Amino acid sequence: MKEFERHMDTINSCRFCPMCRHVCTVSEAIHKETITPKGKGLTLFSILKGLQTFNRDIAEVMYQCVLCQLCHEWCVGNWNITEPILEARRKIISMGLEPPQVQQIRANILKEGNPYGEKRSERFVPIESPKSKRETSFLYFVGCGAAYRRSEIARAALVVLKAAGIKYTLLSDEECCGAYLDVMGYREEAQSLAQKNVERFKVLGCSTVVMGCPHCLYTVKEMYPQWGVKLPKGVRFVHTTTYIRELVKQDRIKLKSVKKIVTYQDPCWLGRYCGIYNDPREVLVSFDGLDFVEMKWTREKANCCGYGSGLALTFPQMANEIAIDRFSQAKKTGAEILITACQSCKSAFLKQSSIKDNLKVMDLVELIAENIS
Amino acid sequence: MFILNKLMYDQIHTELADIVGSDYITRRRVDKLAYAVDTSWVSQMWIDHGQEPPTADFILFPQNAQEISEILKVANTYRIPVVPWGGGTGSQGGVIPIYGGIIIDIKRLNRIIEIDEESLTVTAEAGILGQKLEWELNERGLTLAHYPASEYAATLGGYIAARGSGTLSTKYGKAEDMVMWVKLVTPTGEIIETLPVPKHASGPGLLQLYVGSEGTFGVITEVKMRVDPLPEERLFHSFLFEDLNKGIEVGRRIMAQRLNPCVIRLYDEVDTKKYVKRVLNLDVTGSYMVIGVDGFRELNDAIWKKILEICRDLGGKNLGSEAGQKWWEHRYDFYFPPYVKALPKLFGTIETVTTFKNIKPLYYATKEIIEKKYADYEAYFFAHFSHWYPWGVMVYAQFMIEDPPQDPEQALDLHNRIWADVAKCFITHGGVLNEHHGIGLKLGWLMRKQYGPAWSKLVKIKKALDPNGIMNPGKLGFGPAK
Repeated sequence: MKEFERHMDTINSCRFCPMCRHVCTVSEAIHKETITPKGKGLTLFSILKGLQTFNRDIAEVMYQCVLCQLCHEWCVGNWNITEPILEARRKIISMGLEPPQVQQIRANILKEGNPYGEKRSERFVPIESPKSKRETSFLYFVGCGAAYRRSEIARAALVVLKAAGIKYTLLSDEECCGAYLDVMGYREEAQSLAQKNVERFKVLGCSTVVMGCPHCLYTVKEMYPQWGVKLPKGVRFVHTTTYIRELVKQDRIKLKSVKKIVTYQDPCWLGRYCGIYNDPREVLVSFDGLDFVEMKWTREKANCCGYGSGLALTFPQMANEIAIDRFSQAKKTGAEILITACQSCKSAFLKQSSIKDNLKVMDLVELIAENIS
Repeated sequence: MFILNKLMYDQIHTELADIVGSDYITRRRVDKLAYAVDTSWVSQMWIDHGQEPPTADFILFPQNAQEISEILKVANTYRIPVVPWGGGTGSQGGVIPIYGGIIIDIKRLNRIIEIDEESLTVTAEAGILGQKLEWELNERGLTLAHYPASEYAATLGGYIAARGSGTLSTKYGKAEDMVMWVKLVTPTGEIIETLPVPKHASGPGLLQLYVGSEGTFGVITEVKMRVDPLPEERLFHSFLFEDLNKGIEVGRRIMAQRLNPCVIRLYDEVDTKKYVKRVLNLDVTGSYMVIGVDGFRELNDAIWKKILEICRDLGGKNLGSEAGQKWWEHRYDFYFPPYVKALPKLFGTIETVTTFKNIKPLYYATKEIIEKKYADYEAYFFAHFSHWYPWGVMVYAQFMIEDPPQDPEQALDLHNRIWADVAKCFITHGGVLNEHHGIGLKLGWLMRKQYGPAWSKLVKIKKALDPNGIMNPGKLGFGPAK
């Protein structure tokens, strides 16, 4: 259990502390002590004390976390229970105790290049062929979420890039970035994917890689180097919202007036992980006539949608309970459109919305694509 | 474990799962251990030393009073102990399942049923987290004004069951003052309600029978509380007095003149040195005090004028408003690690309340016990006075031993001896066993001493309500299930 030594301060701090209970996304969904940060810290502590040993029940508990880091945000002591949780997942994998749905995610990614198990042949195909790699140094990295579930987001992103005069290319053999493999505990397989992706970036010779998925962005920019996978020098990895904000400021996209009440969901991986809060907002307020209203909990303290970090695949019922709550917060604003900047968030909210809600769910790139003048 | 044989364990599991559904019952080891520790030093120390804690046999997550009623009927049939669990934030071991049995986690009962803005009341299910309720009220310009340090994790039902107190109780009252009505499931499974309003001349107070019962008289499922409008202004000033006695006199005069501050926090000399140094980075000697006033600005100004006069008359040095404001905004910070008191130290919050006449003798007698009788352990004592009444004040005292015995049984023995000495001192000097943390397991054995002949009446009430003794046995001084 040497791997937990570096986490002992966190485990010792969280094991008895209930001070983030009210913001723990998963425990607010199913109200169990065991899955709170305190419960997880206590579980890990009791394993280290020999009071219990890793087993399938404990494995299930460790996977019942959406890694939103809202607990970390609230913690005055700055403790982050997600780090020992991820360590526990790696340990659980090494012992072969992971839940079957976690194994399935791994199998899906290794076989079909996406966690959903959709066939590679069903992957998103752009309406227009992208430029060849020789013609451009700009890569749009689609990401599994847009490629296999939310292709409308990818299409909209390409419309926006084209309207701005950007010559982009795509990876015809784009692999999963490895985010889900890593957060599930399959670090080695994630590293292997990372190496393949970085090789592709090098071969492509791109100078800018725009990513629509916050999981992809964080994993490539922050985690690949931590895994010892060096990023090619001089390549800028950036989220679509950041890039589009620049396009708007540079007047390379002109936006029509949008007379709608709009609210915005800060995706956990874009906000708390990548630190991007202002870019999407600056884009939204660039629309003439748009009435932007914030939800009560935003930015660093934004509530999670429930679908990130693979929770929608591992514990869909829990993920939906979380999404219901966040969607109701969005409805409370009186907004007509709920904008987000993450494929997982959009999937989460689409599932909750119905016509009678009068709250349309869109990715930011879709709003822009529909309203370019 | 209560259930002694596998056959009955499985049989009872079947019956309970039939009530709540198989997704809402667990007997997994991982869950049992998560529900074996509250915020009591004993439960934490025990597991910290790798000792096997008492665990429940089953943990259930019912969704309404009807399911709880059926659970209790099964429990009565088989004489199974039942412990209601809200947030598990109590510090007295009140939810530790010392006899095994069933834990009922009430947090699925978490709806707000009604906010009556005309009458300024809120009715909610007992499992709602305090902070969540407060946020909902704030959106309407209202507040529960109940700010315990456990607010982030404690439940509304727990507030009532433990007779809890919040930071602004001096003005707004304790939870027992705010509660107007409860619905509960009695130990024998009936679902009953108290009268719709707490003030009446319709016989003895049934509501207050259940308030403070710590799960021994049933499971509270719904609560109606008085709420208050958010104040126009809430301001704090802090002062330094020559010594504690001056500070106590200031507080007494403020209360005696019915100036209705929202908070008075008075630190003794030891706590002043520690606290003021830590928070304000000032090295001062004396007794530090924070006073808060809230409400309409016009009225507050008049109140502050009177308060400042009293402080001046007793030689108080006005340290301004910044420190007090900072305390208010960060009042829970010291409950987060690494700022919170933690193992391996041995510590306890030895608090009580008594009249102004008795508070100084009580305080000094308690201080002497810790500092003299436990000098060999280098025990130290510090206190603040934080919940004030028209007739007296609560002393929130603490003891600390930095380097206690490493053997868990020796540590437990030392802990219990200190508590026994302090509790008896409280009783001798006109105090009570506890003002707002409750009795739980820790102080239950002293209830007989506290109540004297009246204790037998409480025991008879318990027997009448809970003939099989299944509700949270061993707590509040009541015995095990029959």
